[in-house]
Amino acid sequence: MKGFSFPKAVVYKEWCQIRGWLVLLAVVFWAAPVKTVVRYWTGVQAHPEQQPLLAASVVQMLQGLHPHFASVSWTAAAALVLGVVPMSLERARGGLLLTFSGPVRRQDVVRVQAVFCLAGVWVALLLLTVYLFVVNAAFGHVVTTGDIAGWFLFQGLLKSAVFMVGFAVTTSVGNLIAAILCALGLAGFPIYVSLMIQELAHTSIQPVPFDEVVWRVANDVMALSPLAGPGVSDAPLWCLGGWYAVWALGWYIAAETLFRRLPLEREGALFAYPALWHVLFAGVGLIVGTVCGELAVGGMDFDPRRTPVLTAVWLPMAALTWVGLHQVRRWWIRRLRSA
Amino acid sequence: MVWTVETIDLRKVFDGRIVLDSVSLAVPAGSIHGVVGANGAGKSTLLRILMGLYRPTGGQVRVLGELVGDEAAELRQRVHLVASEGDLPRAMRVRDYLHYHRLLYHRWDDGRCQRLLEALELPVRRSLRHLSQGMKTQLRLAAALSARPDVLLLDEPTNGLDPVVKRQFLQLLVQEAAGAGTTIVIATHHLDDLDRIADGITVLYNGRAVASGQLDALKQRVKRVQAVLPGEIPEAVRQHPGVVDVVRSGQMVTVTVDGDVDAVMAALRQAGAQYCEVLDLELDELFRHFMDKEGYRREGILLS
Repeated sequence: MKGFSFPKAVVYKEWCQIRGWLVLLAVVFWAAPVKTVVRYWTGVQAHPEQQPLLAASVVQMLQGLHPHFASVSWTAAAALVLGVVPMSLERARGGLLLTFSGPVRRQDVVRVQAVFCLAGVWVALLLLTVYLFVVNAAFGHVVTTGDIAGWFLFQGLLKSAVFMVGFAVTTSVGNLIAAILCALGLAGFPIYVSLMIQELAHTSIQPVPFDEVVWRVANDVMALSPLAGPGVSDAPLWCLGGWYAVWALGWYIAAETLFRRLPLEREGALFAYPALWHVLFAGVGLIVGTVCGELAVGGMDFDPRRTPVLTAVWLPMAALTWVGLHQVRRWWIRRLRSA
Repeated sequence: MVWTVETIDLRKVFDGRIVLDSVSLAVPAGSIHGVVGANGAGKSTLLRILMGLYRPTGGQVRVLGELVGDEAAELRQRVHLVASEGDLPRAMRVRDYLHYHRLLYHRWDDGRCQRLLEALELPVRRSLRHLSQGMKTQLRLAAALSARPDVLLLDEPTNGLDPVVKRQFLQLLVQEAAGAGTTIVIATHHLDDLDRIADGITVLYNGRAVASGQLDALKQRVKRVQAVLPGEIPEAVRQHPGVVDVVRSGQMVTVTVDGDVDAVMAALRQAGAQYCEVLDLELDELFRHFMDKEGYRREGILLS
């Protein structure tokens, strides 16, 4: 097996297992654009007098191809789910033990699966781009070829980034639903940071509306999440595209490292690494502390004078929740062992 | 002597629980070795460590003379695990699964695979998701044997097999060990199967190997003495250090002895036994004996 980066056997197995999911992903990517054009043709045949009105919807879709206007829709979430589902289902069914009972190296499985899925994402997008190019030509070149190419490149990078988050998460989180939630949480992390910046700024400069600088910083931070999309930021597209490429690469390295170290004893466990329980409990503690703090100061309308009250409630509640959850887990483990 | 499968003081602790504790095992080439034990004794864990799937906490594991580590991909060209647990890839058909193995193993034998498919009557076009548990196990065995392994590890292989197929399955294993010199380690609860084919045995209880060795030697060690004794059972028999169990039914006395049988026979004859004979234990009796010694027994339940 040495020297083979993509062993034929692993490629064959992954192809058999993943091809169905790739077809499903392509259907999700294609659904809206194809539906728009089909609606146009059927509408024109039934009501020829409404042709201009129906054409407007196609033109609107084509105009949306400019990367700056590309709203991130559920297609990004589909890419994220693609990152999670194949590995997660294999783990849930005890498939990893079966796979590694053969002469298969872990890094080969990760590499082949990542390459297959990413290739599926890019091929689906490329075919969609060709389709959109044809539609664009049929409607008199509503947008430029450069815009279509830019859209393809940007969407590819963005979906690669969001796919990789899901892929990395599933190497550590065993349950499908938990893995999807965790991946959404991680992919959306910059959005929460942005919200926090806005909230803090709102608290400190009330009643004056947002300062322009704070607004810009918050939006730029939010744009770092592939779930937020480029429309929220004025940052150059090449910059955001580069960021998503780095994001995808970073998460891939994380996925390969975590998967190589994955203890197969914990194949079906919720968290393959017990340390992740600390992160979960800290997160829950943060949320509980925030909710309690907000209740204590009387809702979302912050008053700077109430900040000490908020902190006094938030900190103990977050810490108590964190400690309490740990105690519950310890008690549960002791009970399981004694049983 | 060079052992094909060897563990020395193997220890596995998982989440603070001792799963295997100082297990030493030695299996010679071309033999069939059984691993038996109560539920949760650590049989499957032992096999998974032998495959390099689980990391041992302590001790040494050698298979085919090589230390088994995390990335034992090369070694797994010659060592196969057939387990009844874990689902086969659902998106594949039988022939896809076999093609995957053909690509995976250097020593894949198409002729052998074809003969096995015909003998086991496996439907090559059927999706793996539509196979019964027994068919899945047979398919796994067919794939493993077609790759001409040096070591075959079987985890509860006869689960879900009907008696006819089970017999065929066991015959295949004996043939493989005797003909091809494959070393086979079987973890199972089906002691009657093992009694027919195993050369050696290891009994696990709570992660410890409470007995290990050649099956004949273990059977030689533990015997049953039956005697017709009208009078009282002599104290010399009850106090004998090797006597494990004494049961009286009318005039018939049955004594289970772990060790020197002759002294017990002599004591019984001296006490006036009219008839005295030594019997071999079946494997399941031998197993119960070891479990009794460890204090593992279940009382019958009276349902009103």
